[in-house]
Amino acid sequence: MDHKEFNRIVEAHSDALYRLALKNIKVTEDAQEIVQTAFERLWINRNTVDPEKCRAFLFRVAYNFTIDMIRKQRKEADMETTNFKEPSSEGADFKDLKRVLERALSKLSDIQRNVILLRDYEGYSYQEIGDILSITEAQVKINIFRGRKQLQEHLGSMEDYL
Amino acid sequence: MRNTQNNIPEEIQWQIFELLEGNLTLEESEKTLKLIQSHSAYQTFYRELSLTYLKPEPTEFPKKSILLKSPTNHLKIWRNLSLLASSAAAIALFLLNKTETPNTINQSIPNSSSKTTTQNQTQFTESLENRTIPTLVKKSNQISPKKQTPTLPSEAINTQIAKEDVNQSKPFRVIPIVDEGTEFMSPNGETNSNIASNAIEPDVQIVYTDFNGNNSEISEPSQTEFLLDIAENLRFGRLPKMKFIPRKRQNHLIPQVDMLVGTDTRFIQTTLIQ
Repeated sequence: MDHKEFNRIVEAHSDALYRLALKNIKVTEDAQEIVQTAFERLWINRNTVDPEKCRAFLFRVAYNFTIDMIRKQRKEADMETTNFKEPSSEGADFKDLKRVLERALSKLSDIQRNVILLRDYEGYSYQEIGDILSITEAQVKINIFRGRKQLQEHLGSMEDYL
Repeated sequence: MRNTQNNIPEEIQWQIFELLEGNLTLEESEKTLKLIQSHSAYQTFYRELSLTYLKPEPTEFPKKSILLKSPTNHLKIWRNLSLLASSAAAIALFLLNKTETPNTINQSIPNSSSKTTTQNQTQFTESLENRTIPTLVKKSNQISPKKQTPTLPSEAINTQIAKEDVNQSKPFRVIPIVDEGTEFMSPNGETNSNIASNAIEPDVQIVYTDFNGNNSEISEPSQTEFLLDIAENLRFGRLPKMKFIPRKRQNHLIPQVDMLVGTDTRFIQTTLIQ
């Protein structure tokens, strides 16, 4: 992979990687760091990564780095705020479907959230998602199903908005 | 709180899910749709589940430009940097020639012992350091093993300059740290240009105080060489304060900044070392 090919990949996938990272992390600086790390790893491994599979490579690196970052954030949050009480999801703050979904999505497990994001945002097949997240195709499918059911349940509790 | 799932068998939930995922054949889809229409709880579940499909939002990565790679690691000339750095070089030459040229040193110390000469050289070196060179040169104490060049801290460089002054009557000073065109290699075999092109963050950050006394910073990724134009900047007549700050990044090599000054070659060259 030469610099031209690499730049083409940057143009093609950096926005999608950033969107995935933002959906997981919420902090723009951290999301940017995730994207930069993913492309840095791709460049370092440019001679071994198949250009056809570079998208999966990028998402895999970004996902792994994201999970590490989320765990670190949770650990820090646990140490800092033990008495934090989350606002009720049934409160009047949730006035639109998008916000309700965003909140519901953040409550899913990391794996469920990412299978749904990769499926809906990137249009990946079950097999491609499995390659990225290092799980089987069947596990991808069941995680999507369970994740969507949780989202549906959350939406069901927001009856007024449906 | 309403929970439609409790009223629906799991196999029906799966069937509706498969329909929404697009995993069913046309015939299976029609059959499932009829099933959904037959029961209000199924309809509600279908409607709510269909709302869980997210639509991609337009998102743009703001730092795309710094990810893009350049085919070469050589720099374009920066006008501002050129202005400042070449002025620095020119004034350094001016000060060296004006005050204590090698011949002047020898003439000013008639019949001096070797000890006295050494002392004067040391004083001369200190004088240089106090005036110009320390602000111009940031030199790491490491260098690529392949080059086999002696490792010199900045003080040693200046000492070397002074000794060269004594031995050779050159109208300019050469700090022979890096040969022009030399390709350095890291211990793992990565060449200078590879290292530089791998960099995402700037290799070198240059902080300087310009002639108006304003502090400024220049940084750029993957830079290895700063071309100067001394002639253009001689008119400034004094030295800006410049500081080269090599940046250390995780999994990256640290750049080393050297300065090479001569009549024909005038440039600051960064050498990446580990």
